[in-house]
Amino acid sequence: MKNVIMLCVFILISLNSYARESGRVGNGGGAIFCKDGRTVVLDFYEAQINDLYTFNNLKNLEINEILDLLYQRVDLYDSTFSKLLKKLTVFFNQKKVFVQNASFKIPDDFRNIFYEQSCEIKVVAVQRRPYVSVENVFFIDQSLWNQLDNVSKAGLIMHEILYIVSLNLESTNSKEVREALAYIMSDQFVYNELEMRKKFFNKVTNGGFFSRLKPFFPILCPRLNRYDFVCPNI
Amino acid sequence: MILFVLISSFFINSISFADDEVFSIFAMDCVDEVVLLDYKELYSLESSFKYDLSGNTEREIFDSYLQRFKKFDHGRSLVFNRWFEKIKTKTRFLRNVHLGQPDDFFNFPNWNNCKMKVLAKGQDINDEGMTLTINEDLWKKMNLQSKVGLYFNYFLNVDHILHRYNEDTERTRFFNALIASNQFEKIPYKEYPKMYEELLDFNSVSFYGLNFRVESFSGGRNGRDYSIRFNEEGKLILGKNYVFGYTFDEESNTVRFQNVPSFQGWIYGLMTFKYLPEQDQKIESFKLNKTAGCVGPYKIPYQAYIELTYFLKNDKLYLKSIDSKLEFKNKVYNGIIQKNGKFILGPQLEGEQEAKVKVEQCHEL
Repeated sequence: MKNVIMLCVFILISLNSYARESGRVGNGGGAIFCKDGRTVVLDFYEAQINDLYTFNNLKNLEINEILDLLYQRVDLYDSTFSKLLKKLTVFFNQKKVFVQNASFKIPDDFRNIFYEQSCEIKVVAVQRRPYVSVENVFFIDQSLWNQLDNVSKAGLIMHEILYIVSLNLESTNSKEVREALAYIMSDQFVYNELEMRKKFFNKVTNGGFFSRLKPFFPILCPRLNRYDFVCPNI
Repeated sequence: MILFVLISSFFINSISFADDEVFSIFAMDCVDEVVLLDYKELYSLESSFKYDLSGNTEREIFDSYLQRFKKFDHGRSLVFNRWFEKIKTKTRFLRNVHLGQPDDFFNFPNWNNCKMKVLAKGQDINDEGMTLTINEDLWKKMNLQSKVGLYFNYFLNVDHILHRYNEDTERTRFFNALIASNQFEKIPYKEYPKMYEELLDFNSVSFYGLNFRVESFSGGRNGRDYSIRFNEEGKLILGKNYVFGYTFDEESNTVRFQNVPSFQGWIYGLMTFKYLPEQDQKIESFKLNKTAGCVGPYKIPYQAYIELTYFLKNDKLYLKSIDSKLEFKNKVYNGIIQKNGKFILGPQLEGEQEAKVKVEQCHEL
């Protein structure tokens, strides 16, 4: 019964949000660029300041190893979610494009972020819903991307794949996704089911009406289909 | 002095517009070129999209546009062609004049060394007088492709903004660049309805020689209860719809058939449109106008609701049969069929048959 009610609510919401989009909102994955050469993906930077998280465990890892760590930690709570993220990473690589000679506009949810005076906040990646399947989905500022270290590059990829889930479950900005990603990738992460649900799952799924991702599939997958993405057959 | 102020104010008034009757077309003024925003937004962002319309003159390039658009919307391609022929007489070029600040929905990139500017203002081409005002200073710096793209943008937005009341041109700019690109042919037919409804918000569909205006019962933008579908071969399939004749030639609502030139009809009101195999299409509830004419030796009366089946050959419409029960000389027949190339009455129906349409002998033959 709960599922049926949820489904109805989502259908009603989706009718409104999909029927007539007035322009496509591209939302960004950001990073902090400091004069001393430091670059930190925004998700981790905020958590270092707000939650005193550290990310030393990622420092010597390759991008793929960092992504694997995400899949493993998500898998502890929800194997379906982990499989979806793996497939979304492949999708990210297929549907990404590097953009030159342009900078990306700062989204509204970046406006209340604190950062050092000697640093700048910049949008490195933007994702938007495609109108037709031949379009790309993820747009990356080539010159900024080249300045990032592996941790920040992996951080941006993880941000984008989590955000595509969140966006299609009606999130309006990526603040919660940034918090969720920082939590699960931090040195302070110790698996605990309740914590995991509260600090990761609920944030990515826009409130977490269900406790696992699979019940969201009837809502999520048709929407991702519009990106030319097919959910894993689970 | 007073005279000067009066003349100045008259001039300024004459080139300003009411917000709800006008839309803007934009250009990116970059260091080495001025390019239509539509093209800049797509081709600079997506390196796999490249402009590939052919032609060395405005007319040739526009024909390339129409060739593609025809596959997507035959009816509007006819309209746009006619508009292109007359737009030159409805365009004015202004020098040393700003056409206002860009105010629309724009994409996320800020292009280095480029400045967005209002290139043109468009009003309904069906209005009296000049309806397209172009900044001549920018126009002169654009290449032929961007100039023709401006016209196509204008034609799309006359419908999208002025007739369909959309608030921004983001989707039509995208479509304009998309149709001019090497990627358009790669879009599968199954995505056509999505482009129709979500991208262009055009509320009519056309299929070869026929055009239908589709309206939802509720009239609400989110309450659409019609479905526009194409099958795997790209044939348009419609479910039950509220359909009006679409006046694509602006002069007549009529539908004519090549093999029965004196016969014409006006689609009216609630009707269904069924997809049949082998390119046959069946139309139900077909209301005929005053000049209904004859099908074979039988005259279809004015304001009769009939069902008919047509087929298409070389983009032309041909009548195959009339499927409604017909009364002729107090006997009821199962429509009009073709036999050896001639239209004859279908089989006579025995018993108590009621025919809504009474046909008479045609005296025009």
